[in-house]
Amino acid sequence: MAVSLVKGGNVSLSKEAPGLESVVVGLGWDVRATDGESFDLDASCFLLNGEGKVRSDADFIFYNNKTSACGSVQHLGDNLTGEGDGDDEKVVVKLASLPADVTKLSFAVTIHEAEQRRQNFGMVSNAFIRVVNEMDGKEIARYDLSEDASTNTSLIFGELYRHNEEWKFRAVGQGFDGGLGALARNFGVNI
Amino acid sequence: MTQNLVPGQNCPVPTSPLTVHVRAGAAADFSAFRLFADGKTRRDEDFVFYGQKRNDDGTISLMHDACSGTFSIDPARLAPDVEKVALAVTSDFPTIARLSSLTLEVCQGADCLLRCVVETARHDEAALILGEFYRRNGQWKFRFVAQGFRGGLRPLAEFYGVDVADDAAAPSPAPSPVPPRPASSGPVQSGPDPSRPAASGPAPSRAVNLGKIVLTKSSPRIDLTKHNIAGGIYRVNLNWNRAFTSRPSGLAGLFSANRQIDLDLAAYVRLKNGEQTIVQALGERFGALDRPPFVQLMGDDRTGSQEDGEWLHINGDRLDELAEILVFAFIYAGVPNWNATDAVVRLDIPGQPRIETRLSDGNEPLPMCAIARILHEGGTLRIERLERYFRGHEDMDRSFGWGFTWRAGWK
Repeated sequence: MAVSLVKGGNVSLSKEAPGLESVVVGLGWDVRATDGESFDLDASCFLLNGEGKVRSDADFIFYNNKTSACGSVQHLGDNLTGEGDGDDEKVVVKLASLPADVTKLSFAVTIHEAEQRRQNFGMVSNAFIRVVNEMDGKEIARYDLSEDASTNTSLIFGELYRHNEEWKFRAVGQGFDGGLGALARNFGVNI
Repeated sequence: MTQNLVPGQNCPVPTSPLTVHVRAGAAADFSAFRLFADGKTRRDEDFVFYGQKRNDDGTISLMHDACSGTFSIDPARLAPDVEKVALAVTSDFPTIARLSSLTLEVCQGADCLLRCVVETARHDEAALILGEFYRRNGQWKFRFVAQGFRGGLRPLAEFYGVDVADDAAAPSPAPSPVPPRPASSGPVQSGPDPSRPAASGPAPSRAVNLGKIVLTKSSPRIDLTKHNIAGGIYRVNLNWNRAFTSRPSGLAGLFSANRQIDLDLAAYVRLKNGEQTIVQALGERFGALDRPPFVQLMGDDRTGSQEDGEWLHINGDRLDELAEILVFAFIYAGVPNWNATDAVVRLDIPGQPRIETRLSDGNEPLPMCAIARILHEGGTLRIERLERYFRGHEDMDRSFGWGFTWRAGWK
C-alpha cells in the first residue's frame, strides 16, 4: 500500500518494503491535448555525499548522463511528450551496490524550458512522481504534481538516505524556480 | 477575501451553490461541460451553451449577454459520478487575443472567492478552457486552466466527447480546417455494422447543433413565420472590438493619443399606422417599449467602456403594430474603418436561434451603415441583412425614401 506522504514525512523503506533491493522513481504525465507547446518533464537524480554535494559531475544523472559510474543508478530514457501510459520516465536505483560514500540520493523533476513556454506543473494533466518497489511494482510514495505543486516549474520530489543500516525515503516536495541548471549548481555540479 | 489564481493553479471551493462570472472585452460565447471519470460528456444534456442554457437536473445553468456569461453551479447536487465541470469561452473573433480582456470570478453569494485573469494577448486559440471544477479527495476544487484550441468550439466540444453536427461549422470562423474524426478502431466496414441489429431503429443521434443563423452576403435573409414567434423582448446587440484604436495618419499620429472607435446603434421604425421615427442616442431619442415606437435604445456609453456593446430592445408583444425596423450604426468617434471594428450584430428572439451578421464589407471610409432590416408583413417576420454604407443620415434617408427633415444641430 502506498504511503501518503506529507511534506517532510519519512518512510522507512525496510519497514514498508522489507527486503527492498531496488526502487524505481517514476515520472508520468499526459500528452497535451490542447493546442500549444507540448509539456516536457524531466526526471533527474543526484548522488550526494555527507555534505549534500555531488562527488563529481558524473553524480548528476539526467537525460544526457543516464548511468552512474557505479552502475547503480540508471535513467531509462527521456520521454519528450508524456506519450504512453504509466511512468513516462524512470530512474532505477539498486540500493545494495551504491558506494558507501553516497549517503543520499535526491530526486527532482523539472519542466524543460518552463520559463520560455510559460508552463507550470498545474498546466500538465495528471503529472506525478512516485517511488515504486521494483520487485513487486508496489508504490511506496507519490506526489501529484498537477495538484500539489501546481504553480511550480521545478520540484525536489524526495530523497533516499541511509539511516542506521537501512534506507529511508523522505518526501521533500520543495518547489523552486530556475530550472535544472540552477538545481544542479545547487548540488555542486559545474554547469 | 478574493484569491487571484495563475493558470494551472487550483484552490478548494465550498460545496454550496456557486456563481461564476465571465467577462470578455468583446463578443464571445460561453459553455460548460459536465464530465465523468473518463473526462468526457455522456449525453447532450452534459453540454450547456447558448442553445441549451440549463442541464437536465438544473445543477448547471448559463445566463449571458454578448460579452459576459454567468454560470450557476451547484456542486453538492451534481450526480456522484460527475467528476468535473469545465467552463469554456469561444471568441467570435478568430482569436481569444482579440477579446482584449477576459476575466473569470468564482463567487459565493456576494463574495468573490477566486479571480482568474487571462492574459488575452498570449492566446491565439479561438476557444479556451477557462477552468474546471473537479472532485479531489471528497471535496470540490477549481483549477484555472487557460488552455484551448485554435479551431474553436468544434475541437473543444470534441475533446469533451460531444459529437458536433457537420452543418454547424458556421458560428465561428475556423482558421484551420478541422480534421475528420478518426474512425473507430477495427477494420473498415463497407456495409452496416453487423454487431448492431438493423431492426432496432435509428441510432440515437448525439450530434449537437451548435448553429445560430448567420446572415451573410450570399444568404442575406431569413423568414420566421408568425406561429413560430413568441412575444417578449427581442434584443438587438451591436458589439465591436475595442482593442482596435484608430491612429491618426501621418506625423500628427505621433503626437496625439490613440482614439478608440465608438459605434452608436440606432434604428428607423415604421409602424403599421404609417408613423415613422428614428431611435438613437443623438438628440436623446431613446424611444420606448410600452408605447410607440415600441423600440428602445438601452443606454449609450460614449466612452466605449460598456463591455457588451449597445443594446436595442423591441417589444415583441406589440409586433402587430410594427411594420419595419431598420437597424443602423454610425461611427461616432474615430476614423471610419469598419473592417477593423469586427462589428457583429445579433438578434435574440425568445424561442428562436440567435441570428447574427457581421460587418465585413466596409472598405470605404463612410461613417454610417444600414445593417439589417426586420420586416413584418402578412404574418411573416423577415430579417434581412443590408450592410450598406452611407455618408450620413440624409444620404441614407434618400436611399430608403423615408423623407425626414434632417436638421443641423442633431449631431
